[in-house]
Amino acid sequence: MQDSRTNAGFSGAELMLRVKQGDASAFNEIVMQYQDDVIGLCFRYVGNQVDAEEVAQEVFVRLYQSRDSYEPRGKLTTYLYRIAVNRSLNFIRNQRRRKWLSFDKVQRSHSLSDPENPESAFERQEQEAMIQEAIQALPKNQKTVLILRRYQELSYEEIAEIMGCSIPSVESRLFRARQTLRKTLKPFI
Amino acid sequence: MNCKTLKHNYSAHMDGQLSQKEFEAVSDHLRDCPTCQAWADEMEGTWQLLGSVPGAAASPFFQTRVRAKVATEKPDRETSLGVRILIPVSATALLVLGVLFGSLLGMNGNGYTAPQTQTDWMDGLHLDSFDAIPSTSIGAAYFETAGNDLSEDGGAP
Repeated sequence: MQDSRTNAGFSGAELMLRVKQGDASAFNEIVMQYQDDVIGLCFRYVGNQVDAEEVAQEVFVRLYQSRDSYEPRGKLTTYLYRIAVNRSLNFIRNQRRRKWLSFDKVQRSHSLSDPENPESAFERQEQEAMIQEAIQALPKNQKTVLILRRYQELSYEEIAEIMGCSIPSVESRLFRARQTLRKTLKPFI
Repeated sequence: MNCKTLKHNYSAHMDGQLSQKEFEAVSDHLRDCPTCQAWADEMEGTWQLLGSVPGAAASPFFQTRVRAKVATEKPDRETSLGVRILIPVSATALLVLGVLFGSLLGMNGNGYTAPQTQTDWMDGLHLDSFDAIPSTSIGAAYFETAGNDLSEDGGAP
């Protein structure tokens, strides 16, 4: 098996081409490099660590399965994020009846780490839950643009490429998302 | 720049997407319009608030779980081959079998068979159900009263 150290310094697209040629260690390197980004993105949609990792696993499996048809048209993150967005939205649609309790479990664990000030920790937890609910209440296109801009810090061009839309569409959706959240989260500002 | 234009442009302003001229127009308007300034402060505050929600990173052994999942998953190209070929072929085969089975049922005489002669056609109309009214029946009495002929030929002139 090829030494994974030889994969250092390669871009994501270059690593993916090596995966296409059968290099398993290159795929391991991809997972290591991008796992936090993908899990972080999925987390913004599904709201808890367990589900975020489950969806992220599907993303990497899908990436591996598509290796034969992969073409390096841009950054690997664009391709990965596109898969992650679609899988996350599918997950939310399939879990629509599920309440937001799982997100609260994640936040509750944070509050336990601050025993000296449990009240403010509880308030912070509630606020974070409200913010996450407000984001989840957005239409899916606005939600995606907001998440990719605010949390993944992508440019308008990158967001447009991931979503398959124009830059003015990105701008318009982001504006509407910000407007809606300003009204919803005004009590917390 | 008026207030409506300011609000329309402010989101792009927050992301540094405006030209120098547009940027200065926004700044000038905010300096002169406290209402829009308050609105802009809320927009900025909302954006900051969104950043207060912590994210997530990979837990230990996530990479190991991905490797295990990849090892157990069927290759996507095989799955898609099944979806693209086997399912349509199966559906077509079922359709053809259904049509053949229905045809066989019809040919076995369980259904109606078209008559070949005029007599068969008339038999098919089941005119035997319109026999002459019995002379002792109420119907007969009715027709007698009405002056109708009860003979089998219907009283043809």
